Amino acid sequence: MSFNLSLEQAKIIELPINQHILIQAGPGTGKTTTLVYRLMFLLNSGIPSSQIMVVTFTNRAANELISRLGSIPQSGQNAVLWVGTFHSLSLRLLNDEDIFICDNLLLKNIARYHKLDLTAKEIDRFLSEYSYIKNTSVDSITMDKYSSLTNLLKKYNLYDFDDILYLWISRANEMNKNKFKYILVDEFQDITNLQIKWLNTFVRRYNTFIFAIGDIDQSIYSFRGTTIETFLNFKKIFIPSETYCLYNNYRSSASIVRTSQSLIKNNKKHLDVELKPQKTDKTKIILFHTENDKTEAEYIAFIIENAVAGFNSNIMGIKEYGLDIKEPFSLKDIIILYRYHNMRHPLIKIFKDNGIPYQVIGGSKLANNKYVTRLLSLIRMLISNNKEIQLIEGTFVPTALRAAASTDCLGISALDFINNFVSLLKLDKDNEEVSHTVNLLSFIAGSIKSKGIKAVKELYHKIMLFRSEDELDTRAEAITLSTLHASKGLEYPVVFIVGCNEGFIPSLYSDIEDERRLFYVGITRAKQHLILSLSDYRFYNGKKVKTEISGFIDEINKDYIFQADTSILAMKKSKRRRYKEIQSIKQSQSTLKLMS
Amino acid sequence: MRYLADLHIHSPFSRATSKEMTIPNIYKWSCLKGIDVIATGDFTHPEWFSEIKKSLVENNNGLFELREDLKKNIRKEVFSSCSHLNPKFILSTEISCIYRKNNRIRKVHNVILMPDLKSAETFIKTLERIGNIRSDGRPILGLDSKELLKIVIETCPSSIFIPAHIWTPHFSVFGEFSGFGSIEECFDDLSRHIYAIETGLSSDPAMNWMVSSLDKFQLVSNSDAHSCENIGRECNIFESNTDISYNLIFDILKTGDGLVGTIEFFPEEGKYHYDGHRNCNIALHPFESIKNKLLCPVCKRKLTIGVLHRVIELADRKKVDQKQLNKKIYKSYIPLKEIISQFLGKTKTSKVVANQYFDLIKNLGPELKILDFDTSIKDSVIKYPVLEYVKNMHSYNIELNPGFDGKYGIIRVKNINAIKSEQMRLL
Repeated sequence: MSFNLSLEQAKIIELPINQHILIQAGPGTGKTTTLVYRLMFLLNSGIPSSQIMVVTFTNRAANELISRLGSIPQSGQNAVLWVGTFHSLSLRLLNDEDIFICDNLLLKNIARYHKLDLTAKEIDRFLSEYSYIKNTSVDSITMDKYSSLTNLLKKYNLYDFDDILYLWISRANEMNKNKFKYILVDEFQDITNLQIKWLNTFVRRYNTFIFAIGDIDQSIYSFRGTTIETFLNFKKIFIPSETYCLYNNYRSSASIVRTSQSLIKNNKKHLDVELKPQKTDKTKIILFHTENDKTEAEYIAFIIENAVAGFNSNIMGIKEYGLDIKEPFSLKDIIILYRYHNMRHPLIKIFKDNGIPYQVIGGSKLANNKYVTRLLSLIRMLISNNKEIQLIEGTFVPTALRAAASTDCLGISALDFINNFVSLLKLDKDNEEVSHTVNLLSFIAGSIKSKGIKAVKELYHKIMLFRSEDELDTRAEAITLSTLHASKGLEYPVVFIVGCNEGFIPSLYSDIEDERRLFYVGITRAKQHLILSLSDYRFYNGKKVKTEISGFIDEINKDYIFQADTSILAMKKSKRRRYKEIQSIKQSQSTLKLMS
Repeated sequence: MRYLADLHIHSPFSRATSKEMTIPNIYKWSCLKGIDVIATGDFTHPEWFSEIKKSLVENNNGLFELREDLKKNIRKEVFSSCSHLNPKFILSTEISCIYRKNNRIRKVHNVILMPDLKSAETFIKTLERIGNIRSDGRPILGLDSKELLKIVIETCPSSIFIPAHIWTPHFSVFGEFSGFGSIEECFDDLSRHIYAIETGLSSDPAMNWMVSSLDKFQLVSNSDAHSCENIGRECNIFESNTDISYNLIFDILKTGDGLVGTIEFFPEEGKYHYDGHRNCNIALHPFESIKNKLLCPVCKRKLTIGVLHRVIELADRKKVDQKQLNKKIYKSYIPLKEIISQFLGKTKTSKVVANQYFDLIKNLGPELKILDFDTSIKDSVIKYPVLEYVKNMHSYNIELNPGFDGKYGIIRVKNINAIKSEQMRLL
């Protein structure tokens, strides 16, 4: 059982199964491995898979878990596992019910139909506030300000994402067929009160045991209503329970681990556990400072070109710039992280100009895409049970679609449905954005096996639950661009974090400890090389902003940092080569001196 | 009829390519060089593709002719000694695949030929969905070469897929740094769709004969020109009773029947023949660098392993007999301009050299004909003493300074007079 596992991991995996357990597992300590093996341990102990549920933070993590489990020969049984996010599991639990998750657009359409005097922005704000309140408050909910909207939701029997969880909690008493005895929860630090309530429903009813794993230092979703207190109060919520700790980092080089620790210890809300690097590699972290975000992107492209040993001609070995590479990296070894999604533009521009393949994750949700919203309206028009919703949506579905949307388009597979939709709307597939969206839709539809109305409904919910993090194509030979938030759970040999400037990292609009945790998450994604960058000026939201060096950079222990010289950027390309030649001549001269 | 074909060049949309590479100029220089079939280059670049559609007219045999009015105009600049030529264009492009396979980063360049605009258009649309083809004439795609081959075959079964300059250390299928050990390792079961491989400047067919696993492929040579003057510096000699057509080229490359041989550089002149370090000015024969444990004697870092080294690594024959193995012939030439510059003792870019270069072509015919040194040229030696050098080249009176780590090698034609006086001195 214990192959591939460290002693501490093995100990945790084989803990007695009939107790609540919380594992504090720092980055790179083998969180997913531990979870997978614990699951196997349960199965091997004779627990039927129908009694085990695994809650992950993203659909991507759920898929990874399933594939990891499949790759272990011992796991044997090809069980139908209950693995998914809180939302997807709730939907699956409420399988037979006629539920439509309400999105912003539907509510806007209905509000418009009822001629409510509310702007689209106000409705958006209502939904996010409503969600925040539902996730944080333990008791009753009051939304007097928006009573007209809450009344509408009630009138049409509409549910938003959180209502799905509520619904399951309220129906749990009537449903006896799903008796989960063991629930494993990943990323426990990002759990909300509502989700705790959801878990507690099982605990109280079926005497279920919770095995939770997470890292308090990686809690980054306070704006969604998570609080660190939930993590700290585990012992009070689930009684009796034990907590354990994983502190050996197997992912990152020693200097990356030490850097991350020197940063995070500045948080007051922080457990006094130091991560211990298991790798001995002492490659320094690179920090560089440029004039503006454009030159920052240029320098990043320069480093990347060296890291992969050249795109058009061979260049490698920029030891003098801090990046000493022995074996070239592949494009999929590289990720670039930033605080805000719109900070990607200078990077995208330079990659486009140089023809370097890239992929972007962590943008707006697929369900909010303007084409996808039409698709969702169409589906609601087709299969909603509520005549009035059908009518309302009907008025918002484009004519091109409405004419052809007779019921005969429902007897087909989800993929055909998407193809029909694309051809009916005459979408321009050559458009980069459109083709990306169509690819995603086809990807989602491809995973649906059922046909007809069932398939379309499944498609609807899969689209609604599809998160921007799920967009990552791990097979793509491309550089990944991502927000810090969406990088959670990933690991890459080469990690860039751009814009280490005040106002960005940390952001002005968020709690400083939250921001420090976010930066910490970014840093700990790196396995071998971490490159931090900052600039004096930055174009943001159409304005040129003067930016100061991030306070977090000062907090990092300087012993692990190599300050890179960016003066080479100012030179023309031909000069750069000459410069490198001079450097190497100097170097060889000094070797000769040494020899003589 | 004999046809000279250069199947791999680049457009101005590729990096480091001369702006002079317009379609009429390519036509003109093909005439001056003596090329009958010339690649369009970069047809996957949308802008260059529309340029191709504008300036070329589709023949019904899979090749393209320069539009009549453009032809009329540009032919004014073609000497009458070359006017018998009327080069046809063939749709050709090169794609750089960067990907990881078997846990190593791979960078492989591949040349693709297609017979018609329709297939090319479909192909462009498919690639557009995969990656960015607009910013470089030779696009970089994060795509496995094998997947690319699959797309090519699916788009048009009569496409020709040629792994480019197969020995170059950094960007090729056998490259030391990011290549494979065999064609099969790279293309798996799809290897059967590969008929020809490009030897590149730094290797000649004889070197390739050392590797028996390459026997089943036709060895082709192309210029990979980034400027007009380089067109045809390496090319293929086809022979057929019928008129040249795409299908003919396809059959020649598939079966080898009709492929007479190739015109080559001296492999020593190529940029990566020897091992070495450009910055340290170190060039080593593979045997020496092996003695040195592949480390540079100056900076002690790993040397850039050259083509010769890589061929020796993969070679499984010790000696090769061209006739016995029934191999095609090949001829190694030094570009005419270089010969003139050596003869005159002036730099290649000087005006005197250029004048004499055009003068020769004007009076004797296309460059490749002059270099071929047939009887009609031989007779002109008295009139043009520089041809003495061409003669010397043919009799291998040359001195080789092999290229290494991206630096072109220098091939010096020995001055017969100098040799004579040397002999006199010794006597």
